[in-house]
Amino acid sequence: MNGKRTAGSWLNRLFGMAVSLYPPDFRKRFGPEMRDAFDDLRDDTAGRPRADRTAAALRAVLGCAVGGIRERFAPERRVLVHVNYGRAGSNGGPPKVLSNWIADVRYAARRLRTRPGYTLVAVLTLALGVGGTAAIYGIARGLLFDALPYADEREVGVFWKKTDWTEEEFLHMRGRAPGFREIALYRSRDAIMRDGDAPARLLPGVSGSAELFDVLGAARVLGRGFRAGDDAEGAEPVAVLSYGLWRELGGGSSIIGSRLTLDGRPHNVIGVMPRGFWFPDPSVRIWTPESLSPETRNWNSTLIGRVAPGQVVRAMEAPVAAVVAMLDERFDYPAQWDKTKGAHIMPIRDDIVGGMSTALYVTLGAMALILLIACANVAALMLGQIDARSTELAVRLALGAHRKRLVQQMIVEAVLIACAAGALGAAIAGADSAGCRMHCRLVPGLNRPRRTGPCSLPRWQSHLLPH
Amino acid sequence: VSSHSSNPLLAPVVQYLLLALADGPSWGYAIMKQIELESAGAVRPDIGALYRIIARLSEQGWVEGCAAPASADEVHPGRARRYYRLTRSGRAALRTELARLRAVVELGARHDLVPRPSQP
Repeated sequence: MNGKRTAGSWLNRLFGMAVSLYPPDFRKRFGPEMRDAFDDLRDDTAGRPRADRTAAALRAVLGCAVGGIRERFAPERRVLVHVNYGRAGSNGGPPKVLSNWIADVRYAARRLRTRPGYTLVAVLTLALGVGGTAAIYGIARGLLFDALPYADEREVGVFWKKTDWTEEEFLHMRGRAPGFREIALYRSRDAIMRDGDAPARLLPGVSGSAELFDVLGAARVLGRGFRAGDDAEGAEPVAVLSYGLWRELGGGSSIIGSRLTLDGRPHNVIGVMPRGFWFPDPSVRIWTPESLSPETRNWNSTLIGRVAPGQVVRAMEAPVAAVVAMLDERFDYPAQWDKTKGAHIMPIRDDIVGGMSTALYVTLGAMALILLIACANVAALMLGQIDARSTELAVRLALGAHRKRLVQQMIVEAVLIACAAGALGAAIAGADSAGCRMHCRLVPGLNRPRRTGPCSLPRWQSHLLPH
Repeated sequence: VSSHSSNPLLAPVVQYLLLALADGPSWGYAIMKQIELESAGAVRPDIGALYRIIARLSEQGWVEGCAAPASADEVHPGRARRYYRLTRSGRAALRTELARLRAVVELGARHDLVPRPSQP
């Protein structure tokens, strides 16, 4: 019997949810008994075919849920009184209100089926508006509204002269930059991965200084991030994997400590980042420590920092001036590469979104307007339908139909159109995403956000590409 | 449903529920099954409706919880089986309701619509 209970556990959970619809006092008094009665029902129907059993249980769940709603909103004593003799309600079947709605849904569906032209135009008009708005909102939400996958992103800022710093400059400032808790250096470093006999793969990657993950404040799902010494010359090569890459490599915890061959050198896998983490863009699959040397003069790195407690990224004039003074004291810059000019720290979100936020807001507003126009068009179509139905409505009124019921029926019809348009709109939005994904993958260069282009919106890609 | 002397017509499910308790205490699922059986499947309360009615009848003072009768089956381990019985006022209300139904049937018999009910 317990086995049957386990088999029906999802139904029991569903029934428990239905019981939770009752007011607390009622639940406290009758809840355990109701659950036991449900168990009795399941035991009683155990000998029947599976479909019958499930149907009986679902009927009980539905009845219980309807009863809960009625008990919560209309716990009147009328339940005892013979209001609807021989009709649905407390003597079985769905309540009258519910059966009215069911009848209206059926009637509306039948009516829409008999007017395919009207239905198709209304649904398509709304679906295009919904789909377009949903697709644009999907992009805008990630870039403008969702939190970035870093701890307290307002404390993280990107140094001016992006991709224009050297290791020598970083090492000069390391641990000494006033107003910053820590600063880190990173640069793009794609790697060719060989995993056993599998074909070699080019992995978009980033190499950074040991402070990189501390600055970002990101927890790992497995293992650790970089730590002091990982970026020293001659240190053992290590790598941190993205969640997506980890899953592709089997997704086991034994990955920590295993070796991956990157660019012909074995790297020790030390950590896996959580699902949804990306830096500096969602295409990056692997992070490795950069072997830092003061002699290296490559001008291709970016500096990122987390401000000290009490500091705000948008008000870092004094600390930045101190950093500029440090640089000025140590380095002689030619006029066209002078890092002491135009110094500022940009909040990481502004750095990622760049100048796109206004364009996104405008596009979102435009799509919302298009949706509004679509709604107005469909409303006009519906008004036309009501005009054409005036005879039908007059006859129904003359036959005794209640005005409220007629309105309810039209609302149901509108809701059906809205549901169909919503579903189709979601499919259109999904197709937009799939199209963008394919476009980003097929066109070389577009899937690297650090380059310019429409697909350079990192958070947009975070919805499209595996992390 | 203020008093049994001025009862509005009770819902069939309530009539059958009171009848199910007329012979002695019973418990939730057994009451449901008895209602279904005695109404020949015409009245089939679901669990939610049953307990809503039991709640109202308890407030009305027509049924009350009671101890399991000595002849009760052994309860499945881990299940709570609470028994209910008719109170005095519940039994009186049921009698009033049945008398009214009898009066209706007799009226029908006078019109030769149904056979005259046999006297008790």
